[in-house]
Amino acid sequence: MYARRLIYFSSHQVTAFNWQAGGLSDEGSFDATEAGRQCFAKYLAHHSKCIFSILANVSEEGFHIEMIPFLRGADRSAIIARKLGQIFFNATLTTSISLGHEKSRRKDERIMLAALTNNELFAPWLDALARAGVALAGIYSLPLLGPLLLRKLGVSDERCLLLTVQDQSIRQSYLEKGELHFSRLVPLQNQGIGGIAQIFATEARKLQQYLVSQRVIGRQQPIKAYLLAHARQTVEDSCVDSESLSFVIFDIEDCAHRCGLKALPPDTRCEALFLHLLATSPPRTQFASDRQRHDYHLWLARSTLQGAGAVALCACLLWAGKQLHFTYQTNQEVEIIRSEAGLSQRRYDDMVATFPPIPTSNESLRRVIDRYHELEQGSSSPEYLWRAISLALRGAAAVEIDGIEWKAIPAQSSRTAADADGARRSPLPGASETAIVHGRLQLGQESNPRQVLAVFNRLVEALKRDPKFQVEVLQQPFDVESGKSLKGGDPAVEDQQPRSFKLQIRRAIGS
Amino acid sequence: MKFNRADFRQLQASALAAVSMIAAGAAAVYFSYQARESALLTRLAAIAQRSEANARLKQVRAEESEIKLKSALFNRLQERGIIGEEQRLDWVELLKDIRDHRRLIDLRYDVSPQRLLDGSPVGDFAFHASSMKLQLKLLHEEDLTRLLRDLQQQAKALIRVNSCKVERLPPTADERADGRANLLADCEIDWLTLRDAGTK
Repeated sequence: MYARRLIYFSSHQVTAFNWQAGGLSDEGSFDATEAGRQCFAKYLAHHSKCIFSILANVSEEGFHIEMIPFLRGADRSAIIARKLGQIFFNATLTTSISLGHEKSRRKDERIMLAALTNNELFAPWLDALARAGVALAGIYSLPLLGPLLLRKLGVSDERCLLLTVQDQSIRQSYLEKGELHFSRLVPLQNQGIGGIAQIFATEARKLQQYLVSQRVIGRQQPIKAYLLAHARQTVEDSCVDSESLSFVIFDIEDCAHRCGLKALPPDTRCEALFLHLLATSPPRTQFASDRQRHDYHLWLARSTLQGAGAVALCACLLWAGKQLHFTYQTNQEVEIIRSEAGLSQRRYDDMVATFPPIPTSNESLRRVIDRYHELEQGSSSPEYLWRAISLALRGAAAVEIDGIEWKAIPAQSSRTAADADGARRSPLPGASETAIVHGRLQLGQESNPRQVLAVFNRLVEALKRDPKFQVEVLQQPFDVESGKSLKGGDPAVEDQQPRSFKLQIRRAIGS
Repeated sequence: MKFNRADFRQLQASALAAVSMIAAGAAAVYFSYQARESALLTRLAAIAQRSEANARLKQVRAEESEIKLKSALFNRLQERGIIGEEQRLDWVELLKDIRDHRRLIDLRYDVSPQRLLDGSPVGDFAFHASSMKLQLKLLHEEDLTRLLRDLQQQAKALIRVNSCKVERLPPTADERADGRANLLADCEIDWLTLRDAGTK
């Protein structure tokens, strides 16, 4: 944090104050002599890193109200500079205050041009500041703080006078619509409150008459003079109202309270009050040139850079803090989720521990056992078909079996086998078994082919009674189909020969 | 307010400080953002882990009885010898015992080398098959069914009968060499065993 120093500048001496924590502390007064200036230079050398503001209260000043055309930017600045040069010839400490625009069509602007006209008075001190390389924030004139003081005191008169006592002088200001229009300084010979009260009364009347003579106010126009004093009663006794001039006396302690001073002024002098106002609410208008304020501008640039960096850093840290807080919360959440997952895993392990021990995972176990069941259900034996054939042969004494070829067909090849055998047989779902029966029919010498076929057909019908079977005749005892050749000879010889046949029986395993 | 080159030199330190602060802030933002992203990824992974654990627990609860039954069957198969290396010596002894017990005639067999059954393992295990050609003479077809039943009940393997061909032997007394057999049986049987897929 930078340190601020306020310089109270009067014609006969310069007083330095330290502004710290909202309070002023006197750091020394330097007379307007060579010795005083040397002391001031030493003082500045000790406080070369501070920001200095000068509050000047000198009689060598000028105020002049001018009208300029409605202009903006460089043109306005140029015309103001030209007028300042014309009016305050050779003055280096000048400024201007806009008093608003006329309501006419041209909208001319009223400006008050002000200057601290005694360059020689300021020069040695400003040179000392420049040599010390300290940052000069600005040179302010005490009367220009008058409008601010009245606003703090709640005064809103359109026209009024303000009289205050500083060091060895009385400052008299005329304000119109809250803006300073004129000010002058009167030396104070009698420092007693009685003398001050007399001078207040006299000088207020003189100022009112001067303003009338200048036609700033009307002859009979009533105006109030606001006085800041310590011993209110004494001042009231001396300042008697007239038709055109009335007095309003503010107790200086009350004013100090209203302006926020921590240390109350011990007497009627108002330097502390104005310095406090300068420190807390410096007016925009000041008299120093850009060259004189160069170091202050450098300081401003440095402060801006550092401030911008600090703001960026703070913003980034805040954002990063927010992110880290979110990260912390997320990590906490992750811990909870992991503990829940761990709990599920422990429950799973506890449950699995109750299972019989096996050297594989549950998934692998499931697949192995399912496949085992598949194989077990798909495996069969010829016993079932043999029994069925045996049952069908009961009562068929003429049938003699020469052989049975039994075959199990696994599920995946069942359809393929069926396709290979031809489209006439419908495929069986899943694993199946087949038996091809080779046999002969021998009915004796009296039998004829029709009887042989009847016996054979009864055998086939007996097998077909079981709905699970698909029975197919592969070879008939007699081929009487139209598509095949039929041969014959001596019936006596043929009838004695056994007639061969071939049957195929199919069944789905597990049906 | 105009600055010359000398002024800019005086501003260098402040500019450097500002840049340093901005860089430090940016670094803090970067690392905090990375930490945030990392935490979000970790949370996603943890959620996935929890979902997986919950699903596994839910599944094992639902299949508890099934797994217990299958585990018990697995252990029975292991005890019986179906799971593990082939016990060919036991198979030979079993065939001899059945032949003697059932008084089977002229029992002959030929067991082929073992092969992988399904072409690929089932889980951590693989089924293997050893095909056996079996030939014997039968007094009656019941001899064959009893033999197959005994094998299926006692063998240290899952027995899968692929085919059986039974033919009548010539009826004349001279053609019957042993004088007792009526039928000739030719069978093809698979001896199925289950082995750890990692075992060669």
